[in-house]
Amino acid sequence: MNEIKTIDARGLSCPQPALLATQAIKKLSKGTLEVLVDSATARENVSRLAKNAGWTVTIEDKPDGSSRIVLKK
Amino acid sequence: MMLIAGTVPIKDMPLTLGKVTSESGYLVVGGRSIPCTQGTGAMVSAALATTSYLGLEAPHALLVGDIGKGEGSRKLYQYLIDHIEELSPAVLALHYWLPNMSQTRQLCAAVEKCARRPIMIADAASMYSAKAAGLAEKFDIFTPDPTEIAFLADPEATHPAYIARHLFETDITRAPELARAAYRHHGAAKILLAKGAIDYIIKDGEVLATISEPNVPALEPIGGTGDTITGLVSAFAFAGLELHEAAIIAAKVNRMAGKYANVTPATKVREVIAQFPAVFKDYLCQWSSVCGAKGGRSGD
Amino acid sequence: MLFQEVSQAMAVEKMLKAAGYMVRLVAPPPELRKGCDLAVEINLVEQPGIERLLKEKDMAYTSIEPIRAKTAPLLDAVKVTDFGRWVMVKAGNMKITYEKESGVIVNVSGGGCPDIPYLHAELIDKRLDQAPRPKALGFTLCALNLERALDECLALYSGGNKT
Repeated sequence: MNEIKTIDARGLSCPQPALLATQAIKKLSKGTLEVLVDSATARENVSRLAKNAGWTVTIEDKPDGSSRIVLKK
Repeated sequence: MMLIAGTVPIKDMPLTLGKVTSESGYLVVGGRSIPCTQGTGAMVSAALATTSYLGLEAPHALLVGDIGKGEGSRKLYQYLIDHIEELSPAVLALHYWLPNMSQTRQLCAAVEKCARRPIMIADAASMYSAKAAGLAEKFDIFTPDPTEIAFLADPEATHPAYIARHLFETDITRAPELARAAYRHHGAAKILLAKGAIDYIIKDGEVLATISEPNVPALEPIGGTGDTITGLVSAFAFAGLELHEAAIIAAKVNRMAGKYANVTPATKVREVIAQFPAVFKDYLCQWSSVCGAKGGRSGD
Repeated sequence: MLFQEVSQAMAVEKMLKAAGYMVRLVAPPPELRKGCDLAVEINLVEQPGIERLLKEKDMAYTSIEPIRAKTAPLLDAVKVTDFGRWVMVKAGNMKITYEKESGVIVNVSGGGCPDIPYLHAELIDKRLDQAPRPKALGFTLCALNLERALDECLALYSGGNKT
Protein backbone atom coordinates (compact mmCIF):
# COMPACT_ATOMS: atom_id res chain seq x y z
CA MET A 1 0.00 0.00 0.00
CA ASN A 2 1.40 3.43 -0.94
CA GLU A 3 2.23 5.62 2.00
CA ILE A 4 0.56 9.04 1.88
CA LYS A 5 2.85 11.84 2.95
CA THR A 6 1.00 14.67 4.67
CA ILE A 7 2.07 18.28 4.69
CA ASP A 8 0.13 20.38 7.16
CA ALA A 9 0.46 23.96 5.90
CA ARG A 10 -2.47 25.31 7.89
CA GLY A 11 -1.54 28.44 9.80
CA LEU A 12 1.38 29.17 7.49
CA SER A 13 1.53 32.34 5.44
CA CYS A 14 2.17 32.58 1.73
CA PRO A 15 4.53 31.53 0.19
CA GLN A 16 5.24 28.86 2.81
CA PRO A 17 2.49 26.38 1.81
CA ALA A 18 3.60 26.51 -1.81
CA LEU A 19 7.26 26.21 -0.81
CA LEU A 20 6.63 23.13 1.31
CA ALA A 21 4.61 21.53 -1.46
CA THR A 22 7.35 22.33 -4.01
CA GLN A 23 10.00 20.79 -1.80
CA ALA A 24 7.91 17.67 -1.21
CA ILE A 25 7.17 17.27 -4.92
CA LYS A 26 10.85 17.57 -5.77
CA LYS A 27 11.77 14.95 -3.17
CA LEU A 28 9.05 12.46 -4.08
CA SER A 29 9.17 11.92 -7.83
CA LYS A 30 5.96 9.90 -7.69
CA GLY A 31 3.42 8.78 -5.12
CA THR A 32 0.68 10.47 -3.14
CA LEU A 33 0.93 13.72 -1.23
CA GLU A 34 -1.71 15.27 0.95
CA VAL A 35 -1.42 19.02 1.56
CA LEU A 36 -3.63 20.72 4.15
CA VAL A 37 -4.16 24.46 3.69
CA ASP A 38 -6.52 27.05 5.11
CA SER A 39 -6.56 29.84 2.51
CA ALA A 40 -7.82 30.18 -1.02
CA THR A 41 -4.45 31.57 -2.14
CA ALA A 42 -2.59 28.57 -0.77
CA ARG A 43 -5.11 26.21 -2.34
CA GLU A 44 -4.67 27.85 -5.76
CA ASN A 45 -0.88 28.04 -5.52
CA VAL A 46 -0.39 24.43 -4.45
CA SER A 47 -2.84 23.18 -7.09
CA ARG A 48 -1.21 25.20 -9.85
CA LEU A 49 2.37 24.22 -9.11
CA ALA A 50 1.43 20.57 -8.72
CA LYS A 51 -0.38 20.52 -12.08
CA ASN A 52 2.59 22.27 -13.70
CA ALA A 53 4.80 19.49 -12.35
CA GLY A 54 2.55 16.84 -13.89
CA TRP A 55 0.65 15.73 -10.76
CA THR A 56 -3.12 15.17 -10.67
CA VAL A 57 -4.92 17.30 -8.13
CA THR A 58 -8.04 16.56 -6.13
CA ILE A 59 -9.41 19.12 -3.70
CA GLU A 60 -11.68 18.41 -0.78
CA ASP A 61 -13.02 21.53 0.94
CA LYS A 62 -13.80 21.09 4.64
CA PRO A 63 -16.57 22.76 6.65
CA ASP A 64 -13.99 24.61 8.78
CA GLY A 65 -12.73 26.50 5.71
CA SER A 66 -9.60 24.41 5.24
CA SER A 67 -8.89 22.26 2.21
CA ARG A 68 -7.29 18.87 1.72
CA ILE A 69 -5.40 18.77 -1.56
CA VAL A 70 -4.40 15.30 -2.74
CA LEU A 71 -1.61 15.13 -5.28
CA LYS A 72 -0.89 11.94 -7.19
CA LYS A 73 1.67 10.92 -9.73
CA MET B 1 17.27 25.14 12.85
CA MET B 2 18.48 28.50 11.68
CA LEU B 3 21.47 29.67 13.72
CA ILE B 4 22.73 33.26 13.81
CA ALA B 5 26.05 33.90 15.52
CA GLY B 6 27.47 37.29 16.39
CA THR B 7 28.56 39.73 19.06
CA VAL B 8 26.35 42.24 20.82
CA PRO B 9 27.48 45.49 22.49
CA ILE B 10 26.72 44.37 26.03
CA LYS B 11 30.04 44.40 27.86
CA ASP B 12 29.99 41.33 30.06
CA MET B 13 27.29 39.25 28.46
CA PRO B 14 28.45 35.63 28.52
CA LEU B 15 28.13 33.30 25.58
CA THR B 16 24.42 32.63 25.24
CA LEU B 17 22.62 30.19 22.98
CA GLY B 18 18.88 30.01 22.67
CA LYS B 19 15.77 30.34 20.56
CA VAL B 20 14.91 33.97 19.97
CA THR B 21 11.72 35.57 21.25
CA SER B 22 10.72 39.18 21.60
CA GLU B 23 9.30 41.08 24.53
CA SER B 24 8.44 44.79 24.80
CA GLY B 25 10.52 45.68 21.76
CA TYR B 26 13.59 43.74 22.90
CA LEU B 27 14.91 40.44 21.68
CA VAL B 28 15.22 37.76 24.34
CA VAL B 29 17.79 34.99 24.06
CA GLY B 30 18.55 32.62 26.90
CA GLY B 31 16.73 34.94 29.29
CA ARG B 32 18.81 37.96 28.27
CA SER B 33 17.41 41.11 26.65
CA ILE B 34 19.13 42.38 23.54
CA PRO B 35 18.23 45.73 21.97
CA CYS B 36 17.08 45.76 18.37
CA THR B 37 19.71 48.18 17.11
CA GLN B 38 22.44 48.37 14.51
CA GLY B 39 24.46 45.16 14.42
CA THR B 40 23.52 41.59 15.16
CA GLY B 41 20.42 42.78 17.08
CA ALA B 42 18.92 44.24 13.92
CA MET B 43 19.80 41.16 11.92
CA VAL B 44 18.21 38.79 14.43
CA SER B 45 15.11 41.01 14.65
CA ALA B 46 14.67 40.93 10.89
CA ALA B 47 15.06 37.15 10.81
CA LEU B 48 12.57 36.74 13.66
CA ALA B 49 10.00 38.97 11.95
CA THR B 50 10.29 36.81 8.85
CA THR B 51 10.06 33.40 10.51
CA SER B 52 7.14 34.64 12.64
CA TYR B 53 5.23 35.72 9.57
CA LEU B 54 5.90 32.52 7.69
CA GLY B 55 4.99 30.35 10.67
CA LEU B 56 8.44 28.81 10.87
CA GLU B 57 10.52 27.91 13.91
CA ALA B 58 12.11 31.05 15.36
CA PRO B 59 15.82 31.51 14.75
CA HIS B 60 18.34 30.36 17.32
CA ALA B 61 21.05 32.83 18.24
CA LEU B 62 24.53 32.31 19.64
CA LEU B 63 25.49 35.67 21.06
CA VAL B 64 28.23 37.06 23.25
CA GLY B 65 29.07 40.47 24.63
CA ASP B 66 32.07 42.07 22.93
CA ILE B 67 32.67 45.79 22.56
CA GLY B 68 35.77 45.29 20.46
CA LYS B 69 38.39 43.67 22.66
CA GLY B 70 37.89 40.32 21.01
CA GLU B 71 37.63 37.98 23.96
CA GLY B 72 33.92 37.37 23.41
CA SER B 73 34.49 36.88 19.69
CA ARG B 74 37.10 34.19 20.31
CA LYS B 75 34.72 32.33 22.65
CA LEU B 76 31.93 32.58 20.10
CA TYR B 77 33.91 31.07 17.27
CA GLN B 78 35.50 28.44 19.53
CA TYR B 79 32.03 27.32 20.60
CA LEU B 80 30.99 27.01 16.98
CA ILE B 81 34.16 25.12 16.10
CA ASP B 82 33.55 22.70 18.98
CA HIS B 83 29.78 22.25 18.55
CA ILE B 84 28.74 22.91 14.97
CA GLU B 85 28.62 19.21 14.11
CA GLU B 86 26.17 18.45 16.92
CA LEU B 87 24.17 21.67 16.37
CA SER B 88 23.86 20.85 12.69
CA PRO B 89 21.89 23.94 11.63
CA ALA B 90 20.18 24.09 8.25
CA VAL B 91 21.38 27.71 7.97
CA LEU B 92 24.42 29.23 9.69
CA ALA B 93 24.55 33.02 9.46
CA LEU B 94 27.73 34.65 10.80
CA HIS B 95 27.73 38.32 11.66
CA TYR B 96 29.60 40.82 13.86
CA TRP B 97 32.81 39.64 15.54
CA LEU B 98 36.48 40.56 15.76
CA PRO B 99 37.90 39.03 12.58
CA ASN B 100 40.30 36.15 13.08
CA MET B 101 41.43 34.19 10.03
CA SER B 102 42.71 31.22 12.00
CA GLN B 103 39.41 30.62 13.78
CA THR B 104 37.54 31.13 10.52
CA ARG B 105 39.64 28.36 8.96
CA GLN B 106 38.96 26.07 11.89
CA LEU B 107 35.22 26.76 11.69
CA CYS B 108 35.06 26.03 7.97
CA ALA B 109 36.95 22.77 8.57
CA ALA B 110 34.45 21.84 11.33
CA VAL B 111 31.52 22.64 9.05
CA GLU B 112 32.87 20.16 6.49
CA LYS B 113 32.29 17.42 9.07
CA CYS B 114 28.58 18.20 9.47
CA ALA B 115 26.37 15.35 8.26
CA ARG B 116 24.31 17.91 6.36
CA ARG B 117 26.23 20.96 5.29
CA PRO B 118 24.46 24.14 6.42
CA ILE B 119 23.72 27.01 4.08
CA MET B 120 26.56 29.38 4.97
CA ILE B 121 25.86 33.10 5.06
CA ALA B 122 28.24 35.83 6.22
CA ASP B 123 28.08 39.58 6.59
CA ALA B 124 30.03 42.18 8.59
CA ALA B 125 33.41 41.13 9.93
CA SER B 126 32.60 37.44 9.53
CA MET B 127 32.60 38.18 5.80
CA TYR B 128 35.84 40.16 6.15
CA SER B 129 37.68 37.29 7.80
CA ALA B 130 36.24 34.67 5.44
CA LYS B 131 37.56 36.63 2.48
CA ALA B 132 40.88 37.44 4.18
CA ALA B 133 41.37 33.75 4.99
CA GLY B 134 40.78 32.75 1.37
CA LEU B 135 37.56 30.96 2.28
CA ALA B 136 34.94 33.12 0.56
CA GLU B 137 34.04 30.32 -1.83
CA LYS B 138 32.99 28.10 1.09
CA PHE B 139 30.10 30.47 1.67
CA ASP B 140 26.76 30.48 -0.12
CA ILE B 141 25.86 34.14 0.39
CA PHE B 142 27.73 37.33 1.26
CA THR B 143 25.84 40.62 1.67
CA PRO B 144 28.43 43.38 1.04
CA ASP B 145 27.77 47.11 0.79
CA PRO B 146 29.66 49.14 -1.88
CA THR B 147 32.83 49.57 0.21
CA GLU B 148 32.78 45.89 1.08
CA ILE B 149 32.39 44.87 -2.58
CA ALA B 150 35.54 46.89 -3.26
CA PHE B 151 37.19 45.04 -0.36
CA LEU B 152 36.16 41.66 -1.80
CA ALA B 153 37.55 42.75 -5.20
CA ASP B 154 40.90 43.81 -3.77
CA PRO B 155 43.06 40.69 -3.48
CA GLU B 156 45.50 42.45 -1.12
CA ALA B 157 43.02 43.83 1.41
CA THR B 158 42.38 41.88 4.62
CA HIS B 159 39.96 44.51 5.97
CA PRO B 160 37.87 47.27 4.29
CA ALA B 161 40.10 49.84 5.98
CA TYR B 162 42.86 48.83 3.55
CA ILE B 163 41.19 48.76 0.17
CA ALA B 164 42.98 50.50 -2.65
CA ARG B 165 41.82 54.06 -3.07
CA HIS B 166 40.78 53.71 -6.68
CA LEU B 167 38.35 50.96 -5.66
CA PHE B 168 36.80 53.07 -2.88
CA GLU B 169 35.96 55.89 -5.23
CA THR B 170 33.74 53.78 -7.46
CA ASP B 171 29.97 54.21 -7.40
CA ILE B 172 27.48 51.39 -6.95
CA THR B 173 26.93 51.02 -10.70
CA ARG B 174 30.42 49.53 -10.85
CA ALA B 175 29.38 46.82 -8.40
CA PRO B 176 28.94 44.17 -11.13
CA GLU B 177 32.45 44.87 -12.43
CA LEU B 178 33.92 44.78 -8.92
CA ALA B 179 31.98 41.62 -8.17
CA ARG B 180 33.47 39.94 -11.23
CA ALA B 181 36.93 40.93 -9.94
CA ALA B 182 35.99 39.47 -6.55
CA TYR B 183 35.05 36.17 -8.17
CA ARG B 184 38.26 36.17 -10.22
CA HIS B 185 40.32 36.67 -7.07
CA HIS B 186 38.31 34.03 -5.15
CA GLY B 187 37.03 36.72 -2.79
CA ALA B 188 33.31 36.12 -3.30
CA ALA B 189 30.70 33.70 -1.98
CA LYS B 190 28.62 31.78 -4.52
CA ILE B 191 25.98 34.51 -4.34
CA LEU B 192 26.62 38.17 -3.62
CA LEU B 193 23.72 40.33 -2.50
CA ALA B 194 25.44 43.64 -3.20
CA LYS B 195 23.37 46.19 -1.31
CA GLY B 196 23.34 49.89 -2.14
CA ALA B 197 21.40 52.56 -4.00
CA ILE B 198 20.94 49.73 -6.51
CA ASP B 199 20.94 46.17 -5.19
CA TYR B 200 22.57 43.53 -7.36
CA ILE B 201 22.10 39.80 -6.99
CA ILE B 202 25.16 38.18 -8.50
CA LYS B 203 25.81 34.47 -8.83
CA ASP B 204 29.17 33.08 -9.93
CA GLY B 205 30.07 36.46 -11.39
CA GLU B 206 26.86 36.99 -13.38
CA VAL B 207 24.18 39.54 -12.45
CA LEU B 208 20.90 37.67 -11.96
CA ALA B 209 18.83 40.64 -10.82
CA THR B 210 19.02 44.39 -10.37
CA ILE B 211 16.69 46.02 -7.86
CA SER B 212 16.35 49.77 -7.73
CA GLU B 213 12.72 50.31 -6.73
CA PRO B 214 11.41 51.70 -4.61
CA ASN B 215 14.31 54.11 -4.45
CA VAL B 216 14.76 55.12 -0.79
CA PRO B 217 18.11 56.98 -0.47
CA ALA B 218 17.52 57.65 3.23
CA LEU B 219 17.98 53.93 3.98
CA GLU B 220 21.74 54.24 3.50
CA PRO B 221 22.48 56.45 6.55
CA ILE B 222 20.30 54.35 8.85
CA GLY B 223 22.45 52.06 10.98
CA GLY B 224 21.25 48.49 10.71
CA THR B 225 19.51 48.52 7.34
CA GLY B 226 22.28 46.39 5.90
CA ASP B 227 21.99 44.03 8.85
CA THR B 228 18.26 43.61 8.22
CA ILE B 229 18.90 42.46 4.64
CA THR B 230 21.17 39.74 6.00
CA GLY B 231 18.50 38.68 8.50
CA LEU B 232 15.88 38.59 5.77
CA VAL B 233 17.93 36.55 3.30
CA SER B 234 18.93 34.09 6.04
CA ALA B 235 15.30 33.55 7.03
CA PHE B 236 14.12 33.16 3.44
CA ALA B 237 16.92 30.65 2.83
CA PHE B 238 15.72 28.78 5.93
CA ALA B 239 12.18 28.88 4.54
CA GLY B 240 13.38 26.92 1.53
CA LEU B 241 13.48 29.57 -1.16
CA GLU B 242 16.14 29.13 -3.82
CA LEU B 243 19.08 31.20 -2.56
CA HIS B 244 19.06 33.72 -5.39
CA GLU B 245 15.32 34.20 -4.89
CA ALA B 246 15.84 34.62 -1.14
CA ALA B 247 18.33 37.39 -1.95
CA ILE B 248 16.05 39.13 -4.45
CA ILE B 249 13.08 39.14 -2.11
CA ALA B 250 15.22 40.26 0.85
CA ALA B 251 16.38 43.29 -1.12
CA LYS B 252 12.83 44.14 -2.19
CA VAL B 253 11.37 43.77 1.30
CA ASN B 254 14.03 46.03 2.82
CA ARG B 255 13.35 48.81 0.33
CA MET B 256 9.59 48.57 0.56
CA ALA B 257 9.75 48.58 4.36
CA GLY B 258 11.80 51.77 4.13
CA LYS B 259 9.11 53.29 1.94
CA TYR B 260 6.29 52.13 4.23
CA ALA B 261 8.16 53.63 7.21
CA ASN B 262 8.67 56.96 5.40
CA VAL B 263 12.25 56.91 6.55
CA THR B 264 14.50 59.92 6.92
CA PRO B 265 18.24 59.77 7.69
CA ALA B 266 17.27 60.08 11.37
CA THR B 267 14.99 57.02 11.42
CA LYS B 268 16.06 54.10 13.60
CA VAL B 269 16.21 50.58 12.18
CA ARG B 270 13.52 49.16 14.46
CA GLU B 271 10.99 51.41 12.71
CA VAL B 272 11.90 49.78 9.39
CA ILE B 273 11.63 46.26 10.83
CA ALA B 274 8.22 47.14 12.26
CA GLN B 275 6.96 47.47 8.67
CA PHE B 276 8.07 44.00 7.58
CA PRO B 277 4.76 42.23 8.38
CA ALA B 278 2.79 44.75 6.32
CA VAL B 279 5.21 44.39 3.40
CA PHE B 280 5.07 40.59 3.64
CA LYS B 281 1.27 40.68 3.62
CA ASP B 282 1.10 42.99 0.61
CA TYR B 283 3.96 41.65 -1.49
CA LEU B 284 5.50 38.33 -0.46
CA CYS B 285 3.16 36.18 -2.50
CA GLN B 286 3.55 38.38 -5.56
CA TRP B 287 7.33 38.44 -5.36
CA SER B 288 7.74 34.73 -4.76
CA SER B 289 8.01 32.55 -7.85
CA VAL B 290 5.93 29.80 -6.21
CA CYS B 291 2.89 32.06 -5.80
CA GLY B 292 0.65 33.36 -8.51
CA ALA B 293 -1.22 36.03 -6.57
CA LYS B 294 -1.13 39.67 -7.54
CA GLY B 295 -0.77 42.10 -4.71
CA GLY B 296 0.69 45.39 -3.61
CA ARG B 297 -0.81 48.64 -2.52
CA SER B 298 -2.30 51.09 -4.95
CA GLY B 299 0.17 53.72 -5.97
CA ASP B 300 3.21 51.43 -5.46
CA MET C 1 56.18 48.22 14.94
CA LEU C 2 53.81 45.33 15.61
CA PHE C 3 51.17 44.91 18.31
CA GLN C 4 48.85 42.30 19.77
CA GLU C 5 45.82 44.56 19.57
CA VAL C 6 44.63 47.27 17.21
CA SER C 7 43.93 49.54 20.17
CA GLN C 8 47.57 49.37 21.25
CA ALA C 9 48.72 50.48 17.80
CA MET C 10 46.27 53.38 17.84
CA ALA C 11 47.40 54.51 21.28
CA VAL C 12 51.11 54.35 20.38
CA GLU C 13 50.61 56.22 17.11
CA LYS C 14 48.75 58.97 18.95
CA MET C 15 51.45 59.22 21.60
CA LEU C 16 54.35 59.24 19.12
CA LYS C 17 52.70 61.91 16.99
CA ALA C 18 52.13 64.06 20.06
CA ALA C 19 55.83 63.60 20.88
CA GLY C 20 56.71 64.94 17.42
CA TYR C 21 57.54 61.73 15.57
CA MET C 22 56.46 61.27 11.95
CA VAL C 23 54.73 57.92 12.06
CA ARG C 24 51.71 56.41 10.38
CA LEU C 25 49.32 53.53 10.86
CA VAL C 26 49.64 50.73 8.30
CA ALA C 27 48.72 47.11 7.79
CA PRO C 28 51.35 44.64 8.98
CA PRO C 29 53.05 42.55 6.29
CA PRO C 30 50.66 39.92 4.86
CA GLU C 31 52.22 36.91 6.56
CA LEU C 32 51.66 38.50 9.98
CA ARG C 33 48.03 39.51 9.55
CA LYS C 34 45.31 37.95 11.73
CA GLY C 35 42.21 39.71 10.43
CA CYS C 36 41.79 43.09 12.07
CA ASP C 37 45.38 44.33 12.23
CA LEU C 38 47.29 47.53 12.66
CA ALA C 39 50.98 48.36 12.83
CA VAL C 40 52.86 51.63 13.22
CA GLU C 41 55.37 52.52 10.54
CA ILE C 42 58.38 54.31 12.05
CA ASN C 43 61.68 55.54 10.79
CA LEU C 44 64.09 52.79 11.86
CA VAL C 45 66.71 55.43 12.54
CA GLU C 46 64.53 56.64 15.38
CA GLN C 47 64.01 53.21 16.88
CA PRO C 48 66.12 53.71 20.04
CA GLY C 49 64.32 56.90 20.99
CA ILE C 50 60.93 55.46 20.27
CA GLU C 51 61.61 52.28 22.24
CA ARG C 52 62.78 54.35 25.20
CA LEU C 53 59.69 56.52 25.07
CA LEU C 54 57.38 53.50 24.98
CA LYS C 55 59.20 52.03 27.96
CA GLU C 56 58.81 55.28 29.91
CA LYS C 57 55.12 55.34 29.09
CA ASP C 58 54.76 51.63 29.82
CA MET C 59 53.21 50.99 26.40
CA ALA C 60 53.49 47.47 25.02
CA TYR C 61 54.41 46.34 21.54
CA THR C 62 55.33 42.97 20.10
CA SER C 63 58.39 43.76 18.01
CA ILE C 64 59.98 46.15 15.58
CA GLU C 65 60.71 44.64 12.17
CA PRO C 66 62.45 46.24 9.22
CA ILE C 67 60.05 46.41 6.30
CA ARG C 68 60.75 43.70 3.73
CA ALA C 69 57.27 43.08 2.39
CA LYS C 70 54.69 45.55 1.23
CA THR C 71 52.68 47.27 3.92
CA ALA C 72 49.40 48.86 2.99
CA PRO C 73 48.37 52.33 4.04
CA LEU C 74 44.97 52.90 5.56
CA LEU C 75 42.33 54.16 3.19
CA ASP C 76 41.78 57.83 3.96
CA ALA C 77 39.11 58.72 1.42
CA VAL C 78 36.08 60.64 2.64
CA LYS C 79 32.75 61.23 0.87
CA VAL C 80 30.02 63.69 1.86
CA THR C 81 26.33 63.35 0.94
CA ASP C 82 23.81 66.13 1.50
CA PHE C 83 20.35 64.95 2.60
CA GLY C 84 18.84 68.41 2.93
CA ARG C 85 18.26 68.66 6.67
CA TRP C 86 21.06 66.14 7.33
CA VAL C 87 24.60 65.39 6.14
CA MET C 88 26.15 61.93 5.85
CA VAL C 89 29.93 61.61 5.94
CA LYS C 90 31.53 58.38 4.82
CA ALA C 91 35.13 57.54 5.73
CA GLY C 92 36.23 54.13 4.48
CA ASN C 93 33.49 51.72 5.47
CA MET C 94 31.93 53.95 8.17
CA LYS C 95 29.24 56.62 7.98
CA ILE C 96 28.06 59.26 10.41
CA THR C 97 24.92 61.30 9.73
CA TYR C 98 24.15 64.48 11.63
CA GLU C 99 21.44 67.12 11.61
CA LYS C 100 22.80 70.34 10.09
CA GLU C 101 21.03 72.78 12.38
CA SER C 102 21.73 71.18 15.74
CA GLY C 103 24.90 69.23 14.95
CA VAL C 104 23.33 66.19 16.60
CA ILE C 105 24.40 62.75 15.37
CA VAL C 106 21.28 60.90 14.21
CA ASN C 107 22.79 57.74 12.78
CA VAL C 108 25.97 55.68 12.53
CA SER C 109 26.18 52.96 9.91
CA GLY C 110 28.62 50.62 8.22
CA GLY C 111 31.37 48.44 9.57
CA GLY C 112 31.42 44.93 10.92
CA CYS C 113 33.72 44.89 13.94
CA PRO C 114 32.15 44.44 17.39
CA ASP C 115 32.96 47.92 18.72
CA ILE C 116 30.74 49.54 16.11
CA PRO C 117 27.32 48.72 17.63
CA TYR C 118 28.76 49.91 20.94
CA LEU C 119 30.00 53.15 19.39
CA HIS C 120 26.67 53.55 17.59
CA ALA C 121 24.91 53.58 20.96
CA GLU C 122 27.48 55.98 22.44
CA LEU C 123 27.37 58.49 19.58
CA ILE C 124 23.67 58.61 18.71
CA ASP C 125 21.82 61.73 19.89
CA LYS C 126 25.06 63.43 20.95
CA ARG C 127 26.19 66.71 19.49
CA LEU C 128 29.24 66.31 17.27
CA ASP C 129 31.44 68.36 19.58
CA GLN C 130 30.24 66.47 22.66
CA ALA C 131 30.36 62.98 21.26
CA PRO C 132 32.99 60.57 22.61
CA ARG C 133 35.92 59.96 20.29
CA PRO C 134 35.65 56.57 18.54
CA LYS C 135 39.43 56.14 18.66
CA ALA C 136 39.36 56.53 22.44
CA LEU C 137 36.46 54.13 23.00
CA GLY C 138 36.90 51.71 20.10
CA PHE C 139 39.37 48.94 19.44
CA THR C 140 39.35 48.23 15.74
CA LEU C 141 40.01 49.52 12.26
CA CYS C 142 36.30 50.22 11.89
CA ALA C 143 36.55 52.53 14.91
CA LEU C 144 39.48 54.28 13.26
CA ASN C 145 37.39 54.98 10.17
CA LEU C 146 34.56 56.20 12.38
CA GLU C 147 37.01 58.62 14.02
CA ARG C 148 37.91 59.96 10.58
CA ALA C 149 34.24 60.37 9.74
CA LEU C 150 33.67 62.27 12.99
CA ASP C 151 36.65 64.55 12.29
CA GLU C 152 35.22 65.41 8.90
CA CYS C 153 31.76 66.03 10.37
CA LEU C 154 33.27 68.40 12.94
CA ALA C 155 35.22 70.23 10.25
CA LEU C 156 32.10 70.63 8.13
CA TYR C 157 29.87 71.64 11.01
CA SER C 158 32.23 74.05 12.71
CA GLY C 159 33.29 75.53 9.40
CA GLY C 160 29.97 77.35 9.52
CA ASN C 161 29.10 75.41 6.42
CA LYS C 162 26.65 72.96 7.84
CA THR C 163 26.66 71.01 4.57
